[in-house]
Order: sequence, then C-alpha cells, then structure tokens
Amino acid sequence: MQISEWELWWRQTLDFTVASMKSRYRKTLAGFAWVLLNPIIMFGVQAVVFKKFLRLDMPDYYLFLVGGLIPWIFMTQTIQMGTSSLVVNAALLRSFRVHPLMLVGASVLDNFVNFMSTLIIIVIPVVLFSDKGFSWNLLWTPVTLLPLALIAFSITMLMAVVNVFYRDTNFVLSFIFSVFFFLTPIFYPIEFVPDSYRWLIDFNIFFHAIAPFRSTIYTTEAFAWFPLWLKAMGWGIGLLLLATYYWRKRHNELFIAL
Amino acid sequence: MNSSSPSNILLEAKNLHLEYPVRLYAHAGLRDSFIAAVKNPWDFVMKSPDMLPVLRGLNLTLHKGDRLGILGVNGAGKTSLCRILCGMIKPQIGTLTAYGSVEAIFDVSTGVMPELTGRENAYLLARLFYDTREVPKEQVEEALSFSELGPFLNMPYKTYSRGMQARLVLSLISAKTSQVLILDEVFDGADVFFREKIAARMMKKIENSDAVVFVSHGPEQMLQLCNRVVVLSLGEIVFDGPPREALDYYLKSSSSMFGKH
Repeated sequence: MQISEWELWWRQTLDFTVASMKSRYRKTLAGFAWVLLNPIIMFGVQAVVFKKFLRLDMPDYYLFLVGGLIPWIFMTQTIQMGTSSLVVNAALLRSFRVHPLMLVGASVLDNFVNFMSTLIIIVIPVVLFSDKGFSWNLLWTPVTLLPLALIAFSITMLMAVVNVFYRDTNFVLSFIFSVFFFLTPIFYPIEFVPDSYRWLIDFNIFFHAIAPFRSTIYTTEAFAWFPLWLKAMGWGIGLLLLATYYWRKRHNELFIAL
Repeated sequence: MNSSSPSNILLEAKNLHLEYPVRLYAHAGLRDSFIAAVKNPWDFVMKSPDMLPVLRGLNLTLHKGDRLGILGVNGAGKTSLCRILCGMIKPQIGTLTAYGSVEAIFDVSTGVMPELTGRENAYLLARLFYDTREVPKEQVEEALSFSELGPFLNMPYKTYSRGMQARLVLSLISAKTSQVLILDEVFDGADVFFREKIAARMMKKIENSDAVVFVSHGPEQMLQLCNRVVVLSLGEIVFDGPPREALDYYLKSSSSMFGKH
C-alpha cells in the first residue's frame, strides 16, 4: 500500500531518530548521563550565581529559572545539532531518495526526548519543592510544548538549509546564542527590562518560544499562559512558512552544494 | 504526479530545463557573503548570478519494458536527469509525468548509520526503500544471506570495505521489485566476483521491473543490460537508439571531442 509524503517523512523521522539514539548511546552509555548532566550543572550553577551571588530578588527564583533555562537549552541544542544534519548526512541524501527534512525532524525529536527526560529529572522536582507547589496551570504544560517544538523545528529547518550553502552557519549561530542568552529574559524576569528596551524582547523569538512553558510552571493566575501561547503559535507558524519558502526555493540546489 | 498511463508509458519528461548558479560549486561561508555585501552592496543585491545550464529542453519518454542506458561524459547531466526522473529535484521549466512508482539509487557504499551493524543498517535501508508500512522481513533476511557477509553482518557498518558495503546495498535493492528503477553507476563499487553474482540477480530484478534506467561507465554492462541507450551531451539527448549503435556513436563523438585538444 502506498503512503503519503507526510507519512513517509514522519516514518523516516522516527526510524532515523531511533537509529541515531541507538548508535550514539551504544558507543557510550555515559552519553545519555551527560545529556542529563549538562542541564543539571547549568541549572545548578546559574541558580547559585544569580540567587546567592547576585541576589536576584524574586519569589520562587529556582522555579522561575528552571522554566526558562530548560527550554532554552532544548532550543539551542536542537538548532545547533540540526543545523549540521543535512551536511553531515550528505552521502545518504545523495545516494537514496530519502526525505531530506527527515534529518531535521530527527534532530528535533532526538533532542525533544532529552528535553522530556530533563523535564522529569529536574523540572518536576523543582516544581514540587517550590513554595507555590501544585497549580492547575501545570496541567497545561504539555500544550505549551507545541509552539516550543514548532519554533525549534522551523528555525532548525531554515538553518539546516542555510548551512548547506554557507558552511559557517553553526559558528555564527553559537555567537548569536551567546548574545541572546543575555538579551532573553531567561534568568531575569521581563519586568526588569525598562520600557524603552522592551522592543528588544518583543522581537525576540526565543522569548516567545519559552514564555508559555514558563508561564504554566511559574504563574498561578488561571490561563495567563494562553495569550502567550497564541503569540508563540503565531511566530511558529510564520517561521515555518518562511522555512518552507526557503526550502522550496533552494531544494533543487541542495544536491549540488552538498 | 502519479496518474493513469495513456498507453504503456511509465515516465514522460517534456522540455526539461535545469540550470544552477555557478557560485554553488565553490563553497562560501556567511562570513564571505558578509564581506562581499559590505565591499560591494549594489552588486551583492542587484547582480544576477552566473548560471550553468545542466539540461536544455530535454525530452524523454520511458515505456514499459525499456531498459534504458544513459551515456555521457562527466558533466553531461546524467545524474541531474536521474534525480529529476525520480522526483528528487524539479526542473525549472518542463514537466515530468510519472505513471507509477519510481525508485532510484545513486551510490551503493552509503550506510545510514555507520556506527550500527550491517544488519541494522540493512533494516534501516529497507525501511527507506520500501514505500509501504511494513518491511517484509523475509525479503531482507534473504538479501542478507545472499550478500554472503555472514559474521560481518553483526559488525559496525563503518568497518566494511567499499566492496562489502556495495554488496549489502545491492543485495537489498535487488530483493525487491519496482515499477521504475533508476541505477546511477551502482555497479562500480562491488568486487569482481560479487559483480557477476549480483549481475545475475539484478538481471532478474530488471526483468521483473517494468522499466529500468541505468547509468554506467562500463560499455559491457550497457550492452548486457540495456535494450535502448540515449547519449547525453551538454544537457541534450543527441542519440536515442539500440545499445550497440549508441555506444559506437558515443565513442566516436567523445573521441572526436577529445581529438580537438
């Protein structure tokens, strides 16, 4: 029975994700431990530095930080890994008729699994041990993963194609990430940003991607996350359209440049 | 693109034009582009890139029973044509109509995951080759035993020689029948003994396929496998006919071309 292009893409994405995880963790089981250790250390260090050294004064700071930092790590790691996915697998793409974008899908899915593991290991305990404790908003957290994954996928797709033609994309991206880590309200709340600088945040895609997730974790006000979610979905869909346009435009040239 | 065939036509390519910007062949970085943009912003934005024509108004019809060989010097557009025929890329001008499923293989020494074993790679490849939901396990196992790789199947694919990699992939491809099959220089990697063995099996597969498109540098294989050969030169078909005549034409035209130097 023939299957549609979408189904083919999804199936190849799943197959490739399972295979690449199998391949990576077979080489070293410690690899998976590292994947979890990395955000734990990042969170631990920042929690100490910002709360104890810089004494950022806000209630439930650890909860606030974890809600911003963990999705930020997911986004940046996904984009950096996925950006090189087409180039790294150039031989595979040139040899067989596989859906090139399944490589992008697999990078996102692979990192999403890591993100889910971190969520269970770090985020849930921090939520449970916070002063706020359980809030009904938490039940909406899974819904906020949709715009987060959509934005991560769209940026990764765009950058993966750009990287085929401009091989130093990842180098430029790591520079951009180090700048945006400070420009994005991850370890400080948006309320700290003076009004005259707010426009910097309004156009910050990373902030919009993270905001709904953090809202369900940190804010107890009912449905405060929803307007943020709508905005994030808007950005996500817009970015996906842009990535699709660029993909269609340059798809033919891919095999020459790879 | 799939639609019902008017007669016994499987693929119909009309007036295919394909060209690429020349700069694609030289890998530049974002940094280089940034420097170019700062140096000469007007040219950077307004100047249209130099284009390299690959196919120029090519027409090709593939019928049921065709075993079509494509001959041409490097850069004649053979691989680009194959990529269009299987739907990997789209021509800038022209249309391609496919009346059935098309499969294409461009290299046989590529694994999906070099870290995984040959057997695991075989199953992964099978899942990529088969458009259906379920991969028939018996067919993959049969291909694996045909490959005669034995204990090597449980070793990482990256430890394989090119010949062994080709064996595995060719055994897998030939385990399955397809309507239209495109093979771009796939025999070049397999070792000699296996080449004969696999050739016999590929012949069977070719007989079972509705049509095959075949690119090779080996004239013997062309004569053995094809019943029709086209000669491609500078993005156009300059000869279309029986294999022997096509080969003579190709050898004569390429020797006269090189004779000019």
